[in-house]
Amino acid sequence: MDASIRIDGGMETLPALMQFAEQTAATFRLPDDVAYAFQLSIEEICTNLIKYGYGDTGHRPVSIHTNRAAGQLTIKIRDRSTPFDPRTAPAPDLSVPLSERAPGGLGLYLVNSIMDSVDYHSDATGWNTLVMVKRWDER
Amino acid sequence: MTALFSEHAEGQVTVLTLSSDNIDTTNVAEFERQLEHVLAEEKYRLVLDLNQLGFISSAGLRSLLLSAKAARRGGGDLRLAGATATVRRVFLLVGMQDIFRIFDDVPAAIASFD
Repeated sequence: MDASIRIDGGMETLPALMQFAEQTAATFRLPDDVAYAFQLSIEEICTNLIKYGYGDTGHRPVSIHTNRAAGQLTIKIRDRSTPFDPRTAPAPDLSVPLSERAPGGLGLYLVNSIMDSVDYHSDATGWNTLVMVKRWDER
Repeated sequence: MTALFSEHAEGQVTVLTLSSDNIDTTNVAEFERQLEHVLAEEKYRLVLDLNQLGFISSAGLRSLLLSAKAARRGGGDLRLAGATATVRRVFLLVGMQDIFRIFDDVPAAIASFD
């Protein structure tokens, strides 16, 4: 099974994205933990792209393609923002005051922790591609 | 915007029962505004009942941290109760148990203030 969505805008697109994630999780009949990981990844990655990757100007295209196979969910997110490999986000130190922490660090750390694999690359055409996989025991 | 939680007093403790099944980017500003309203009434001994919570993102976790800090500045605390197994696993991933007192149910969280 596959599902896709494409957005081009600011934070006002987040509700539509979250609705897509929730509906797709239901259609795909994902286990609770996998549905959670899916929704979390969509929110955290897209929020970071819109807030920090793109900034406030111009086109902000983000395309999401998801595939559900037996015991495996694959999420592919493509964008044209400033390249940033989310795998390099450091683990958050909750004892550090919030105001002194790097923005977005907690969310990306959560995504890296909750997904089974995260791959990232930027190509010469200006597109960045993030592929995340979550697996579960499906019998 | 509708209330994201209901509120009732249990002695000196204020119990906030979350009615929203999510705290994320789409509603976190409103969640913070409603919590600030509670704190502005000098209610600092707070229990947040998370029984209904199905999804919380880093934006929601950050707002819990900020609210707990404000409650502690007022001499109280924000304590968490009733989170589902999935939400608790997310709490563990980010080390929330080092910052928050987390209880299985609301009565245990209320009793912890004695």
